[in-house]
Amino acid sequence: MSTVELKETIPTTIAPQPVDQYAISAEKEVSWTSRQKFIFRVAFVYLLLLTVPLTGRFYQGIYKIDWSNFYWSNLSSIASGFGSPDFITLTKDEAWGLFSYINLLVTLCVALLVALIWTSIVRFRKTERKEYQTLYYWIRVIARYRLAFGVIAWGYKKLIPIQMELPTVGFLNTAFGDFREQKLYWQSVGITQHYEIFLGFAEVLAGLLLLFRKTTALGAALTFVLLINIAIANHAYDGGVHVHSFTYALLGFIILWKDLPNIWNLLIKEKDVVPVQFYPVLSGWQKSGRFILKTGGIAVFVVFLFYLHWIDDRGYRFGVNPGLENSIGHYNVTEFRLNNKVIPYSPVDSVRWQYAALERWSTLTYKVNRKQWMDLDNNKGERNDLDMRFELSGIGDGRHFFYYEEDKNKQLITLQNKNPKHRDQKQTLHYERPSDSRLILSGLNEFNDSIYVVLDKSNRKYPLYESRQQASIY
Amino acid sequence: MTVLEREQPVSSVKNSFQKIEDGQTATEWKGYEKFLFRVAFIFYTQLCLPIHNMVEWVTRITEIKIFNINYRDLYDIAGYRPDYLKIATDSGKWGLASYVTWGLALVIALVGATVWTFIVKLRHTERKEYKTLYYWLRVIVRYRIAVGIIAFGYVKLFPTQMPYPSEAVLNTLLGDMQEQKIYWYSVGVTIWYQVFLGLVEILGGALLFFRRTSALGAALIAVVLFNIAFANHSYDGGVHVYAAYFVLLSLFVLLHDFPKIWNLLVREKDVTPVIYEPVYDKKWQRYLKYGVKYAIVLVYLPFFFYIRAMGYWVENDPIQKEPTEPGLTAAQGLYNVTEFRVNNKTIPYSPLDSIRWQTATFEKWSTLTYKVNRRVKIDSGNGGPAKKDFDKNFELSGIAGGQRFFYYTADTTAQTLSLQDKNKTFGEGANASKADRAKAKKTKPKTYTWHYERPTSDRIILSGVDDRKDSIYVILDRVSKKYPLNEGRSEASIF
Repeated sequence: MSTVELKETIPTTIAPQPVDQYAISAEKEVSWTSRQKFIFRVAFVYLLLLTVPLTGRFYQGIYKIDWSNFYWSNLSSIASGFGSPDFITLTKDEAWGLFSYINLLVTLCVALLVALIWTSIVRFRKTERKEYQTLYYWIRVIARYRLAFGVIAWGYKKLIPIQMELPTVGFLNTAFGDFREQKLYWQSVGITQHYEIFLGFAEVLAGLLLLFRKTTALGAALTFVLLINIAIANHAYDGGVHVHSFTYALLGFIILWKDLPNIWNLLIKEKDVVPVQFYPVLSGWQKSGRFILKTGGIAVFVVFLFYLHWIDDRGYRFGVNPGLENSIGHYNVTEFRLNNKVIPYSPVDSVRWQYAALERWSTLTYKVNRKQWMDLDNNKGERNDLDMRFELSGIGDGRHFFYYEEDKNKQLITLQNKNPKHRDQKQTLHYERPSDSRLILSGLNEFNDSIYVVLDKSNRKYPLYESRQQASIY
Repeated sequence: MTVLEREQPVSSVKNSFQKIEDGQTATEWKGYEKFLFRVAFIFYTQLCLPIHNMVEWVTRITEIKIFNINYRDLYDIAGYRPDYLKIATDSGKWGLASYVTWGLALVIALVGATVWTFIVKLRHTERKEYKTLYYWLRVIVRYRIAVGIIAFGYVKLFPTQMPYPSEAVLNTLLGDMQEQKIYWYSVGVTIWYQVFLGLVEILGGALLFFRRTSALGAALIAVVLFNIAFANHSYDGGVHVYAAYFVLLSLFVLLHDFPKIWNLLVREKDVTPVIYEPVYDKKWQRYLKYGVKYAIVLVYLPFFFYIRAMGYWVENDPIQKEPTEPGLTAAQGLYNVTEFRVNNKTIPYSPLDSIRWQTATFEKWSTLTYKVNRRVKIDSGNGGPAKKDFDKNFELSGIAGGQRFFYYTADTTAQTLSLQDKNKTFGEGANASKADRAKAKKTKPKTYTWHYERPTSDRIILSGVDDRKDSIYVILDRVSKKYPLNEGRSEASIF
């Protein structure tokens, strides 16, 4: 007997299958519109021009590095040395106004042009792709890392505070109106180092968030907010780095762009959002290559740079040559003789010193009613004491700044005016220290007149440093 | 390279809006969530609603002259916050102990929530969730932040919160100013940065008025005010608690949306936002809601703008930080003290002399200052705005360096100046405490009358009896001074 089996085929409905989150779908391609593709090409070229260093200045800087004396600034300049190429060189005056942004605009035009050519070529050869997901991914990676390393390099200068230092004896005794705006802004951040460290921490945090894909959007948003603030402050205070900060903010915004529609839809339009991520699958050597590059980059520009900052003990604002032992302070000029004739105190005399100051490093300053050119420049990475002009640039209170070298045996100091327009002024003075607080200088001044000066250190207190908590009789 | 893509059933994008009818419960909250909500409810209502100072708030409102409303009215009624306890130590003024009110509010909230939980459990009337109440709590917090921060924004947008430094301040040494003062003035020297900060504050507040943009507004305010609170701690600015208050409130608003943002951006997941909004059955309920909402929005945004614009550009606002009565005609500037005689004896120039003036300044308004090497208690207040010029202390608060500040009225026919020392804590000895100031408020200020001559446009000769009962004769010669602060950056100049 044979049994016949009846098989019933039950039509099954297509049940939704549990989708494996990482299912490969090479077939399913996303298509971009022509407009999207063109805009991407422009953005791609623009970002490339902004992030890959193309200025001669950058490579000259690398060439000039003294590898036996490698310090944080060498690495820092590499990290933050990007931006639009200098298509148009700006004059000193133009560097302050809106025109200073011209290179960002020109670069954009160049990007447009290249994108046009690119579009025509691929259309002509009929090799136009349907989408640029992969390229988009990679250019975002490049932009993210460049921006992150740059922002972190800037942040370190505040986190381990050397960008804004505590005021010198000279600054403490300079009237508020005698500072240039930018100098004042710098002092206002430098007087309490906590705030500076906080700002540095915020910048470093923004940079760190940019290094990882999942936190990129938060990092980009934070970078944008911080750096727009810095750019506007730079405009308000003539800080000088408005274009550079704006470039950082711009990059942050472009990086954020990818997530903006999602954020907008979620928060403002209150819709469901399905974030779709595209990222390449790397295999074998590609995987290790990526790992090495990423870890290497972070090791150098985050960890090693931090270490270099940590071990630095001289900053980049002030000199390192030590001043006369235990002499730092503000001095009243008790007696002043010119060619043996005593000149009484006078705020209008053009030779008689009004008061003097000695810093921790070998700078002697004194105020006198004689005009001089104001030094305007920012630091340009100088390392020799005579050129460390942070203490005088932007100060117009009538103080004259002299770098000195001490000869302990002969008890002599040879002085030279630090002001670049008055470098020819030199003095040779003999010094006596009859007591801890008195310093007597005698010798030839910068005009070859013989002077005899009795300086008495003032034991004044500074309301700035007496906290507000216990106020205060002054 | 194969491209990975996350597979998702692409559902039609829709609004997952759920309108709750009162009583209908979609989901149930867990026990600890309900308890935490009760704590938050009691805590934040204490912080946001003027319960503790209800009497003062209502009094302040009644003081508003409705047809003569000025910006200070809107600013004040938006600024009430609880102040249960002030601890009279340094930490209580500047440090951790200054936050004691928050601590107390939290304790009250915890106790209250415990009692609340106990009662509802006992009576078996515990709700399944508090979605509606949560919604209203968020509305209260959002609007409190918004009106408060917009008020601050407007005094920066029309920049009066941080005035430009006066002549006396321009001639005060950096080391003779308290930190807080340097911070304040460093913002005050540039109009545009202050305006920018004002715009950001107003934007943040405006975004909080509307539900859809409130997460963005809360995030912006949290970041900006965290910065301000930190700066206040660094510089002893004095308003650290109020700045941190906005951060505390904004974080609460952000709490609601934070999981969504985190899931979307960081965890890269799908997000379906579920929004709750009470349903208004009756027309009058809808009218009331929109009426109140738009009344607040219109008053605090466009109307506030109008009042500030009028006060700043058209009529001088009576309540300001800096005095407004004009000083001697064309006398503003810095003066050297060419000659100084006391009881007919000439004292030569000396920066160390305790009587001889070093320099003097006349302001645009009727304040005269001179610098002398004699100790004085400095005014350590913030120098907020006041109605009368004599009470406007901003120009002297936090300023040392031997500067003396005198309010004067000039009689141009008799050529006399009647001066009063603006430093109400004047005297030597101990600290300028609140008691000192209270006592000073009660004592009537002494008036000195001096004769003045103006032989040339740059010379002023003063003579009279000073506060030490000596007769003085002072020749002041104006210095034609250029301030580097005012000079632009691009031109090289000689100073």
